[in-house]
Amino acid sequence: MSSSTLQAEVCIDDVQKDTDISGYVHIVTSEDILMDEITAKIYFEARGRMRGFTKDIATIAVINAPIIIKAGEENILPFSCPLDEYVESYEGQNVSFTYNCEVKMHVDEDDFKKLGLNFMASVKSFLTSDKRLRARTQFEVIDRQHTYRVKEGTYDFGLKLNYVLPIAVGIIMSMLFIAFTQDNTIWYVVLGIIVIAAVTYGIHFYLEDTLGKLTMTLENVDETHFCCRVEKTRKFKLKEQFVYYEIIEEVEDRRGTKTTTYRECQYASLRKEMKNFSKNAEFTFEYPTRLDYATLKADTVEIYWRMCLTGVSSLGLPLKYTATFKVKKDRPIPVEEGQKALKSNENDTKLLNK
Amino acid sequence: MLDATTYNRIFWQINVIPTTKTESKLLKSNYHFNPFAGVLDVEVKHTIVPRFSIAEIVTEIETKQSIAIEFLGKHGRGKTTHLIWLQQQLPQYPIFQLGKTANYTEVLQHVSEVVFVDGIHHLSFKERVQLFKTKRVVVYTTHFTRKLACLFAQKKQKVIRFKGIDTHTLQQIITNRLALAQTDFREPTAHFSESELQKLINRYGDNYRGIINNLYENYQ
Repeated sequence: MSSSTLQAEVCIDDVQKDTDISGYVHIVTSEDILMDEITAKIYFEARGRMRGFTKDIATIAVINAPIIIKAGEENILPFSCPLDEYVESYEGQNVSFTYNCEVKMHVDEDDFKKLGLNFMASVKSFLTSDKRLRARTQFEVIDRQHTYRVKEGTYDFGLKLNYVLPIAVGIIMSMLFIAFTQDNTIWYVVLGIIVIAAVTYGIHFYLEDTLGKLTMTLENVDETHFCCRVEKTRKFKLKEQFVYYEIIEEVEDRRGTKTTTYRECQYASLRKEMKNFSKNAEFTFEYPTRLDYATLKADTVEIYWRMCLTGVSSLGLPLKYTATFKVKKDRPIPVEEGQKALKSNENDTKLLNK
Repeated sequence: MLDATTYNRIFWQINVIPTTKTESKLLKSNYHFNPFAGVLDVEVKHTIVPRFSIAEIVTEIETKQSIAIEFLGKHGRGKTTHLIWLQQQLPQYPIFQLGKTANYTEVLQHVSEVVFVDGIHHLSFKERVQLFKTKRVVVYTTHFTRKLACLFAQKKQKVIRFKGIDTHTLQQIITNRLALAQTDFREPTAHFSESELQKLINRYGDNYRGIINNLYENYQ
């Protein structure tokens, strides 16, 4: 039985946006081996608390004609392919995006016999169905040359439903029914649900109407900051007002008969208190240091940013307003330009306050 | 043609891989991805531990009889996974995931007399009856039995219940998932102890997805 060995390893160089994916196959054998074909397949893979999916990026011919892999030598076979549209690598709570490079090597039939049936025990790669050897590696695609940029513009805030009062009403109603009624029919449950729904939406629309419209304007300041100007109507009055933004990872799990959505906050900025909020207030927020949070929608996975404004109403109800906005990655803003934008914002604010 | 993963599995099956006991702590460097993440459709056959005899079901589908085969159970018990796996054994027949990628008209208008339907609850009672009347064989998943619709359509019904769990099956499912994600097949496969499995079963009952999701979180 032959004792020939073959060791293959795939390496990917660092990948940057607007450049190629480049890498090489490193092969070491104990005997000369004729390799008929070597191909590298690059693909994107998404795994998480959902049905996994893959997307092929490219299949590259590493060699164009059969070559002899010299025994005992370090055989380095480079390859590359362009990287166009892509989703960045990401490691979240409920989903991970990775890139893989799978290299398949077709050893010439006569030389394949040299390796013997026992060779599997001494190779780092696997065997495929058509007697090809397989080696795989995982790599990261993260754009480190570009920084976050918010999509500038004006956004409307929306009021989140508040369940505190309806739940309190529901509990009181249930206690009253238990105390004063003898027959516990299903109609009381139905009535309870209707009342809770009516109270929830009644309060919601009442608050929306009395507090009026709330908007924000976003502008980029520099490569690490953006500016948020919140504007309100005269009617808007809340106590203990705070503003912050959060990055949400949303994964729709369609594995089963029923669809479930997992929503996790991946990042929350510092909470900034809104003091003397007469008509508008301006805040500068820092972008997160992690670079894989840009707005994304890929199949059943979504990453989005939202500005949150919290406060307490005159009735003592905690309220939360949110506005979703887009953030992409782009070339950094020159420092001078950013300072100009900041100064212009300051002037605008002064004028509005006057 | 078998893909590489199939070969890994075959190799894995014919070689006795030593196992190592774990207290749910798995080394990330030993796996390409979280072993408890959702698998690709093509990998279902590698992770599934079948609940029924495939030959028996295939015979029922392939013989010319008219039948509705119901995969009945609560969520997370493996109905959809088994439906996908069964359809992969019979790729000549289509699968429809209602409410996700397909709608009722598509199912009804498809030329195939045998259809696999996931999420039949998206159809009204009338539509279900019409579907049972139109198609010779309907294999579907449901949380509640659709016996009445079958009676109205005068369709013979076979029910496969997805209920119950034991540590042996759970161990097999976990081992299959670990083997699929493992970077080096020569390394010993992690092995969950009986008490660990029992703890999971005590907490989640027969909700396999609940168990797998818990393991996913621990690994992540």
